[in-house]
Amino acid sequence: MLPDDMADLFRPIYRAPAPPPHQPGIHALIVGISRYPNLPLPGHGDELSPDERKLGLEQLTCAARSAWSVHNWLLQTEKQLPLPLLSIRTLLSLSDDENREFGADSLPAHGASLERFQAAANSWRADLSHDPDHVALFYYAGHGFQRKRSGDLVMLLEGTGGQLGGRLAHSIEASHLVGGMAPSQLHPRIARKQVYLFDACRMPLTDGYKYEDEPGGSLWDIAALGEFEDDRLMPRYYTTRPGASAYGLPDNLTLFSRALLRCFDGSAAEFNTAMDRWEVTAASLSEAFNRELIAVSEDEKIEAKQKVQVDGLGEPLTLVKFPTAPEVEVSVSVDPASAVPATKISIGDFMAPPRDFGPPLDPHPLRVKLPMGSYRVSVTSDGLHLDCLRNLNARESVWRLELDE
Amino acid sequence: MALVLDRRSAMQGRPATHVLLCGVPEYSLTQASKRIRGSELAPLAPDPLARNTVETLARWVTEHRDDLAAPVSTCRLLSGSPASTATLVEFLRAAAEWRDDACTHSEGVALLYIAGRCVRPTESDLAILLADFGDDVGGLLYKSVSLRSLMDGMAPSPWNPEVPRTQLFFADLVGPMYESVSDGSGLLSSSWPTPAFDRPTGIAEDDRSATFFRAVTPSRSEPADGPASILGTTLIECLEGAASESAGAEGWAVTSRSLASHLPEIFRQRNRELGSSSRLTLEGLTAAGRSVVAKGMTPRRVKYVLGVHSGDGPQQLVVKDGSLATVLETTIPAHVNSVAVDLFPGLYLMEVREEGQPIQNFLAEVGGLGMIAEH
Repeated sequence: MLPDDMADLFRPIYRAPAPPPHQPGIHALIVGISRYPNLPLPGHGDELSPDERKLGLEQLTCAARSAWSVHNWLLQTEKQLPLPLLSIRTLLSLSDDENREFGADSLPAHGASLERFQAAANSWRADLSHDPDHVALFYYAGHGFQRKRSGDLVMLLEGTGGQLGGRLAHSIEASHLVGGMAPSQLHPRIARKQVYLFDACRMPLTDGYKYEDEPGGSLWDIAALGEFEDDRLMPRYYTTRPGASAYGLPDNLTLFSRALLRCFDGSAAEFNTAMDRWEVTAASLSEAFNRELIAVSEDEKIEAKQKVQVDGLGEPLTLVKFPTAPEVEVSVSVDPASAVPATKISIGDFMAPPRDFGPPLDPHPLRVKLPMGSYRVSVTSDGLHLDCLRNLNARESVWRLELDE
Repeated sequence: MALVLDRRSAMQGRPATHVLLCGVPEYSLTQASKRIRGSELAPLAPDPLARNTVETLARWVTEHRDDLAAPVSTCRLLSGSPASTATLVEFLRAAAEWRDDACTHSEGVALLYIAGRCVRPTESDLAILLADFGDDVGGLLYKSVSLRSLMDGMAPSPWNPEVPRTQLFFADLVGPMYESVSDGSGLLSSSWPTPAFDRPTGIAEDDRSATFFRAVTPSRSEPADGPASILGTTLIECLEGAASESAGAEGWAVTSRSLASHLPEIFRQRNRELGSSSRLTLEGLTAAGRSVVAKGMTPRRVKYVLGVHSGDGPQQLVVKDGSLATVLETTIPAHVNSVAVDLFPGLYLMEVREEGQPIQNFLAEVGGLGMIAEH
C-alpha cells in the first residue's frame, strides 16, 4: 500500500478533460530540481568541508523554474501541438526563492526524489503503452554529469548528497530511462515517437569523488535486446556536449529552456510545403537550437560556450504547428549609409498590399516584425535603387541591402 | 590496407581531408565457429554491396580530390580484396594511421565510411563485424569494432590537440542481429566489441562539428551487384551538389549542416523508390556544423510543377531569381492544368503573363527535392 502522497504521483497533474477514445496524444514527464537539500546552498560550497558524497555540487537556482516554464508552455500552447496533450506529470524540487515566487500551494506536485521519479515514470510509461502513435515527451533540468567509461549522462535527483546508500543511489542514467521505454513483450504497443530533452551539465566529476563504478538508481527492468525491434523515432537533445557545462541565468531560467521556448514559439519554424503550414520539427529544432542559445547569451550579456548536441534524428517529426506564419523581427540596413535619409523601402509578398517605410529610414537599421515567408523588397533613394527577393525566417532575419545607381 | 591516394607531401601543413573507407563483404564464419553455428548469427551471408560501395567511393574521392573544400590528402581503402581485407588488425591499423594523418591540422576534415553487418550488444552501441569475425579467436565480439568508439575516440584530447574539427562518419549496416533471446547463451551480452580508439572523455572540451550518419537495414533492397548502396549513392549525390546551399558571394557550398539537412531527405526518397526498410539516424549533431565540405558544387536542378488553369489562349511564365534577373521564359499552352520547370533551389518570382500583361505574380521557394505548387 502506497502512502497517499505517493499514490498521487501515479496520477498526472494534468489530464485532458475528455479525450476521445483511442485518440493518440502526447504524454509529458517533466522534472526540475533546484533544491537539493543535502547539498550546500548556492555560493556556500566552499565554506563547508569537502565531502565526497556531495560530489562538489551546490543547490541550483533556476532548474525547477525552467521545468515549470516548459510545463506551462505545453498547457498554454496545447492547440499548436501536433497531437492532443493527454497528460503531464511534473516533479519540481523548488529552491526557497522559487517557492516564494510560485507559492508552493499553487503547484500540484513537489519533490523529485528517486521514489517519486520512479512512480511518475512508471505511470507515464503505462499511459504511453497503449498506442504506438502516442508521443512521449521528457524534459529534465537539474544537476547532471557524464560517466567517463560509458559516456552516459547521469541525472542527479533530489536526494543526492545524502548519507544513506551509495553516493549515486539518488540518480538515474539517461540510457536507463530511454532503455526502459523501448518496445518489449510487456510493452509491445508503447509510443514509437519519443522526444527527450536533457537540460543538465555533462562534465565528468573529478576523480576525487570516485563515482565511476557506483551504480545509479533504477526505474524499471530493461527488456532483453532483440526481444522486439526497437523502431522508435527518438530525438534526444542534450543541453551541451560531452565534457561541457550547462548554464543558467541565476533566479531565472536555464539557457537551454530559454532557447527551447524561443524555438517552440516560432524561431525554429520552417515551412512544410506538403502540409502547407509552418512547423517546428525535430530537425528544425536541431538547426535552430544553438542559434537561439547564442541569442539568449547575447541578450543576457553572458559568455556561455554551451552547444546543444542532438542524437537520434531520423524520420520527420512535427513538434509544433502554427495556424499562421510566426512573426519574426527583421533588421534591414541600407548601404551606402549616406542614402539612408532619402531611402524608401517597400516590402510585399503579393498576397497583401506592400508596406512602405521611410523616407527617412529612422531608425536605421529598420527593425520591424513581419510574418515569416518570402518578400519582394524595393528600395529607392535619390537615383539609387534595389529590387530583390528575400526570405524571412529566424535564420535569415538580417537583410543588408546594397543600392546601385 | 590500400592507400589509394597519398598526397601527404604535397599537402603538408595545409588543411586536408583524410578518408577511411572500409567495406566488409565476407566473413571467416565459414570456418564454422562452434559458438555461432546454428544460432541466429549464422550463416552470415556475403554483402557484396559493402565492397562495391567503398570501391565506388574510393574512385569518387580520387577523381574529386581537389573538389572538396579541404583537398583530399589520403584515402585508405579496405574492401575485402586479398590485399585489403578488413580483419580486426588491419582495420585497427588503418584507423590509427587515418587518425594520425587527420590529426595534423585542426582545420582539416576526417571522413570515415564503413559498410557491413552489425550486431547490437548493448542499447547504446553497435558492433560492426570484421572480416575475421567468427574465427573462434578471442571473445565472440573481439573481431568486431565498437561503432561508438569511432566517433568518441576522435574527440580532441591533449595527445591529439590538432584533431580535425570537421568530422563526418557514415555507417552503412545490415542488421542489427541479436542472439536468440531463448537460447540463453548470453554470448553477445557478455562480450564487448573492440574499441577503435581510446576515448578522451572530459579531458578537453569537445568543440567538433561531428555527425554520424547511421543507416541500418535488416536486409539490402539494392541490387547486390550494383555500384553502391543507397547511403553511398546518396552521399555521392549530395557531395556532387544535391546538398549544395547558397554561400552568398562564394556561390554554392556543401556544408556538414547542409549534408545533415539534405542527405536524409534524399535517402528517404531512394529508400521509398527501392522499397527498402533501411533507417537512417543522425547522431552527435551540433549546429556548429557549418563547416564547408565541398565548394562550388552546382546543385542539381529540381522539377517545380506549377498548377495552372490556363484559358483559351496561351500564357507566358517568366521566372526571375533573387536579384530579379529573368532565368526562364516559357509558354503555357492553352487548356493545361500544370506546367513544369527545372530550376536550381532558391527563391523565385513567378510572373504569369497574358498578351504581355502580368496577370498574376507570386513568390516561390524551390526546395532541394522539387515540389508541386498550386496557383
